[in-house]
Amino acid sequence: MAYIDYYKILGVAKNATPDDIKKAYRKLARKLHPDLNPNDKEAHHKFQELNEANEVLGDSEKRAKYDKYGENWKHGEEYEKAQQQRQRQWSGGQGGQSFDFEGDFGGGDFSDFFQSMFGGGGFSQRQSSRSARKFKGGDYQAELNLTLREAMKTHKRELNVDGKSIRITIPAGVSNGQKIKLSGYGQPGVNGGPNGDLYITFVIEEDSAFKRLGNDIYTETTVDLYTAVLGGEIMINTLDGQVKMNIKPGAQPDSKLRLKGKGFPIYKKDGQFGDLYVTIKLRIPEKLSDKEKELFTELSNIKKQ
Amino acid sequence: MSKNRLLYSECLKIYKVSDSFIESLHESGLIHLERSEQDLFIEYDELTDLEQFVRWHCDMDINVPGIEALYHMLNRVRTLQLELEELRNELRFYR
Repeated sequence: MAYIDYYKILGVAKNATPDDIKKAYRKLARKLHPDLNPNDKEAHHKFQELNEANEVLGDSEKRAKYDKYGENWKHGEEYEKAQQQRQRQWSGGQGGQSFDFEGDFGGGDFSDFFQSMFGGGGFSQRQSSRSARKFKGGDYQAELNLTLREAMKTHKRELNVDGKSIRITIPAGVSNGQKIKLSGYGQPGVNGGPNGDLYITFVIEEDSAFKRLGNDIYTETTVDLYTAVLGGEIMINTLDGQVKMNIKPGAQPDSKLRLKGKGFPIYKKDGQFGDLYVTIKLRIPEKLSDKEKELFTELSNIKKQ
Repeated sequence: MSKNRLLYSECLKIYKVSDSFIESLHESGLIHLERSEQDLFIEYDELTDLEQFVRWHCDMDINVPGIEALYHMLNRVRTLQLELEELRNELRFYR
């Protein structure tokens, strides 16, 4: 656990006045505030440091204690108490969660340094921070990975949120990066306030055989030379099983065929689907028998005539 | 207190903000206060936004016109982020 230089975090001199500290805090808060830097973990972390620095330097008692011990903070009373407590206790991890939750900034996250020096009592009532003004619980942010095949079916998933199991329905057709809100599944409210919300962002894994663009699906199929030249029927793999497809005589390599309604389900539009595009890849015969060579040569000569 | 709404007077106590601050937010359309008989209420659904505005006001010393500008700007950023996400998905297709 390292010493934290709160003066450096706020960018103020050791003899800064309370007004200087307030101004410095607000100036940096305007730059690092998590509301203005969504999904920026570094800004989030820096803002927590900033709040902690403001909590200490903006409070005359805490500042005096911090200044008194300085880098010799390990000799402080709270540190010694915390050390003793640590020797008596052991706390296990939470575990058991099906994915990582990231709460929004509740204002209750202190560094070990802060807790060792000032105890774990949280922000003071003097503090004008969010912690003293919370009623609704904080929101949780989570990511849920789905395969492309899972994303095409409406299905239920069981999630573990704060030790409680919840069952959610994932509608068919969700897209990569799409976020859904589950009201009331966030952190508990404060003093009888409503719970926060749970936001789930879907991360759709790529599929080796199918690519998705909007609601359309793209895939490739290999056709032998004879079917490409003469036409015929082939079986195509779709996300939903195999279907029969007609190849017209003279099919060109890399040409695309469209299978209407065989693509991805359209989000929240029951029974509606995008299209499936199949790119024709041609397989040229490699090892020809003498008879085949003879026939190909004959064909070639016919073309030259 | 109704189950899904907060009494205006409670709201002032909880968030420790002035009457004029909440009223200005209401006048600018950033939050909605509802009158029911003699009392004013704010719906729980509005609390996420309200708490955000209180944070901006207290942490960054931003006044209501500033909050209004920032709110619209952040909504624009969110729209652009969604567009970016769609374009990234499209780019992933061509890779």
